[in-house]
Amino acid sequence: MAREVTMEMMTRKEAGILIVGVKGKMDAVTAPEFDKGFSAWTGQEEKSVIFDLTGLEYISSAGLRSMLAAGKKVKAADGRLCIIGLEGPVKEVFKLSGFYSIFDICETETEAIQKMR
Amino acid sequence: MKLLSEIRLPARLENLQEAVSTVAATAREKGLNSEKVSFLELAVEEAVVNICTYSYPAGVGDFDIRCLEEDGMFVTEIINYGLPFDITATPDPDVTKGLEERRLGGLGIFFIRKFVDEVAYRREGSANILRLSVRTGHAEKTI
Repeated sequence: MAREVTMEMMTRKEAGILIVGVKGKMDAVTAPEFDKGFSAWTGQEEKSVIFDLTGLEYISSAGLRSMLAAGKKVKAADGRLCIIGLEGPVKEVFKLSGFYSIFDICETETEAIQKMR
Repeated sequence: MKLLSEIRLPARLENLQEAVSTVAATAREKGLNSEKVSFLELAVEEAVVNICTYSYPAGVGDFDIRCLEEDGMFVTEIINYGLPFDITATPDPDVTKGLEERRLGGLGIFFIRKFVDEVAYRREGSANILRLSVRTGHAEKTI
């Protein structure tokens, strides 16, 4: 069976903030790709980061582990991290895991940018 | 009890997608709604990842997945022939801790327990059988 398209990761910069969009599926196979993609971030240029999960359909504990590791890294560098675009099962998984109390979670990019200023 | 689908795969992460897709397709055919299917996919992924990571320290082994229909339940049995491990006997992680205190990992088994209606483990000979049951009716599980 052919493997379905799994995860897409796109980064851009806006108002001095790094915005990382993640779509598709974050599972045990694709989460390491996310880790690799985010490993380039050092906090030297854009200190604050937004993870835009709009279009992320699925996240398992492996994906959450990557989010948690990224969150710890940003915090250690005195940066700020905000997560936007949570919907459907991914939102439920975040709630269930207690991630709403760990991360700043906003509805929109504008709201997240304002919060980080 | 009616067998709906059955698949045997080598216990390697590259087979995760196929294992999860097989269960999801069978569950959809049986009319489980998309939310239940998503949560079942998550539970199956966690179980399969555990098997691929821990069950066969020597690195070689298979796992079976069987989907069954039984008394208003959609049952997924995930079977491996490696080290015995009863996931129903592990403690839940503390999901109230802050960012700095939270451990990486430990959520997988918690998810299995949260995302399906019933979880059971049994060992039969050399087989470790994890049984995940989801109600097929309209009664919703509150998570």
